[in-house]
Amino acid sequence: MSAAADVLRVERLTVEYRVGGGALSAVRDVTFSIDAGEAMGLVGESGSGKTTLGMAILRYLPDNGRITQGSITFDGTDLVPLGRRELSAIRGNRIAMVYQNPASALNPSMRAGEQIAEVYRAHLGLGREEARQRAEGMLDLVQLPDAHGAYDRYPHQFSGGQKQRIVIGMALAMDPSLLILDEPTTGLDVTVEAEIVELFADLRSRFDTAILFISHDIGLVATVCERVGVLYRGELVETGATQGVFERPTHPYTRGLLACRVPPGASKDSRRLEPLPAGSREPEVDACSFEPRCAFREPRCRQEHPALFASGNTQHSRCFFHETVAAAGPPAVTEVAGRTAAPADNTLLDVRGLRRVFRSGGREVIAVTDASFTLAPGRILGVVGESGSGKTTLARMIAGLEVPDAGTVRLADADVTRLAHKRSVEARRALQMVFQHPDGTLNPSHTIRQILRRQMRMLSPGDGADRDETLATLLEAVQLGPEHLDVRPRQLSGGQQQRVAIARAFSTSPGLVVLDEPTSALDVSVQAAILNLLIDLQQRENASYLLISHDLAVVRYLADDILVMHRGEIVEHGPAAEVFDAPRDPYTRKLLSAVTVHAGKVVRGGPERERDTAGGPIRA
Amino acid sequence: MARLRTLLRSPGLTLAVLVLLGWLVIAVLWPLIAPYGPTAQTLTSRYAPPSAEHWLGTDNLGRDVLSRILAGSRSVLIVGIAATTLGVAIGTTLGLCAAFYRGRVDELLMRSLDLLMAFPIVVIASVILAMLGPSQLNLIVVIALMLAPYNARVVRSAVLSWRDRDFIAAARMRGESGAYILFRELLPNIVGTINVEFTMRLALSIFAVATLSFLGFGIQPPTPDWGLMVAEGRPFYQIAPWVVVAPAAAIASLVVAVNVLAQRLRAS
Repeated sequence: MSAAADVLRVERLTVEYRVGGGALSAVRDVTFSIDAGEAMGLVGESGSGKTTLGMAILRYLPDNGRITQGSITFDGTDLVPLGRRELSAIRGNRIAMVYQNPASALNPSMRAGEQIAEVYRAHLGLGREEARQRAEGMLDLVQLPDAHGAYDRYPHQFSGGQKQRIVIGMALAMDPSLLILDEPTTGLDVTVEAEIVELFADLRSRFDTAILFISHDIGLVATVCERVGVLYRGELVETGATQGVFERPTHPYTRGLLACRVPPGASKDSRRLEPLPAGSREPEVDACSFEPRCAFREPRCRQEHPALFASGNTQHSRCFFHETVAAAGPPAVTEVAGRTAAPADNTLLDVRGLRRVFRSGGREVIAVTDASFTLAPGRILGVVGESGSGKTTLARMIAGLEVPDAGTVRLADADVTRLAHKRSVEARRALQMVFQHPDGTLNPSHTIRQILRRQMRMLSPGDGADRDETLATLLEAVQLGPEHLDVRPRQLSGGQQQRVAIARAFSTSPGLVVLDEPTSALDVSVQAAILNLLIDLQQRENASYLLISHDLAVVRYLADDILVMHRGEIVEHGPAAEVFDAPRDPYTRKLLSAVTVHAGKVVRGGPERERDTAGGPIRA
Repeated sequence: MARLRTLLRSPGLTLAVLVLLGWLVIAVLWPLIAPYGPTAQTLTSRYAPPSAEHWLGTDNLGRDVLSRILAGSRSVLIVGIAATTLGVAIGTTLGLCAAFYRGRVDELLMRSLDLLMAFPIVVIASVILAMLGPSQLNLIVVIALMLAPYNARVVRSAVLSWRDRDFIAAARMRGESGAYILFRELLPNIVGTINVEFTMRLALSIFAVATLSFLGFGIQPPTPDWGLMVAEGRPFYQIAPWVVVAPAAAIASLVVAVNVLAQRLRAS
């Protein structure tokens, strides 16, 4: 790694945001470099500064953000002091960027192929015909089916995954020295995500472009990149070769992040998840920023700010005790013994021939058709499928938020095929729901106390004194304290908001809880704790769950039974182990093969694929 | 308090707030401040130009213009604020209903409001007032009805971004009534929008009171009213311009002050 080969060298970069009267540093003293043709991943949770870092490199910071220290050297030029005009020459030409939302990167009124051809005409000065040929070639290269026909179609005629391919094509057309990918697959379905990640790996063998891959998903980064940096609170806390970092993490945060992921193939009946504890306080100034959450902390960590120590061959760790961390290995697995699923022979929920059709602009879209299944008390049913498969509509009909066009929903032998407010109080009490977005699930203008008390007043018998007692027990059950009662939702973290939502659902001792993507909006380190909580409550209350999720590892871990939906139909339904180990439906097989990408395994093609494979340690 | 301090950092805004507060104080205390009775006539000193005795001169009946302007602030503010409050209350309710229920309710409400908005406010208001007869109460109701559609549209679009949030689904699953969801779950989240709306509509409403009084559909003589004063002074504009200019300036100061405040509220 000679300095001459660096495409990008970021040195001691610090970025601050002016907020109110003060300054908030989002990126602190970050140093890393990327060689030509190399792919480097930056992993971090929300608030880690990863997006700010990506924007700072392109000097796309919002108005209140500024670089207060450091340099960004791209191909030998420091970008920090450059003016607007020089920057835009570099941005359009030699650094390309692919963002999370492909729709916003494409011009909706321009043919897809034209948008790529324009790059060729503007940058290489090619003529019309030649530019078109090159653009079609590029569409082919990004594996868009029928490149010739695709050239003349408009962006809205493509799916999300296809749009992202076109955006990637546009980015590669200018043959950039550096390609920045900022969460390029977030928001895409798992199967599509797997295809896009494969595409990156494949393209890497054909182009000599250096890649900076920013993601919250450590598994994805591992599949694409040979080197990785882990960001925590704006600091790079660990860097090194992907394999090394995965197999032998030398920073407690990396170690925790790897351990708290749901291991592919694991089940709640065999082991518990290992959540990364949330810190109970802010870190000290000029001390280790991870110290409040760290299992390895010593008094020194509160007094001194650790430097980036060499902790392995190519590895660096911002931890005084990196040797201890490396030697400790992954946290011990907490085995669960003797847990068996509830018998499947009783029926709590009975869904028969459910159908829902949406009409829009004279067209009919069948969201769900002929859905029939039963769910026994105390069992967890996982519903999987891509967006548009009808799984959410199915759940909303069961929850009484949507009326089916045909079919019946029976809950505990009572017909509840109607909207929630027309159901009996008993039925409303017996069926609760936990929603996907923690920030939308609680009314921002109500306090937590108001939210929980209203739920109890509407659905639970008993007087005020009883309720205060129940309230305290409830909060304790979801591991919140009385200090969280009189705050408003925005004063809580996403994980805490979801805990309140879970407390609200369990306040009525429901027989069935519908969980609509309960952890998909949460950081990995929070997810494990929430999943453990959901399992504990389910066991204690012997509730049934209807779990909707696109994350197959989560479903595999939690569910006793699996229901696979595809285009509004149930294509497979059976015990989890059977469906996962021997899927009968071809669609299920495709869905399941996509999950391996998340595990940070495989991806064919690419010259250095083998070196990057890092499946083993994540499963541990 | 900190917020108020930052707001007052802008001199234009400070001035606007002072003007507004000034008129509010005058509306309450004018009987103590005004040098003469607002309807007291001194026929010997008609059309007297501004002087130490009559700071803003006298009108065609020898009434003190300054006293009449001070006294006139009360009716403008009462009618303006009452009409705006009523109009925003009606508009907010309609907007909440349209956005929450969607479908046919939405169509019916919004199309009727579109129809109402197709007519110029002053034309339709003057027709209705001509039929009902001019009174302070009628004026309030008519102006409120004219403001409501505009307010309803803004509230509706503000609510649309909230109605599909999960906490509304949670309320529906709890079995909450429509009224509870509208006024307890949705309304508190659009209070900011409603504050801006109220201030903006207040400026319009004050303007409408003055206009309708000027046209003779509003406040009736001899009650001191700014719009009416402009109308009464108009024939003598050549010989006694102060009779027209002073009330016109009063209207302008109030409307501009409220508008400045509204703009700032919207920006924050």
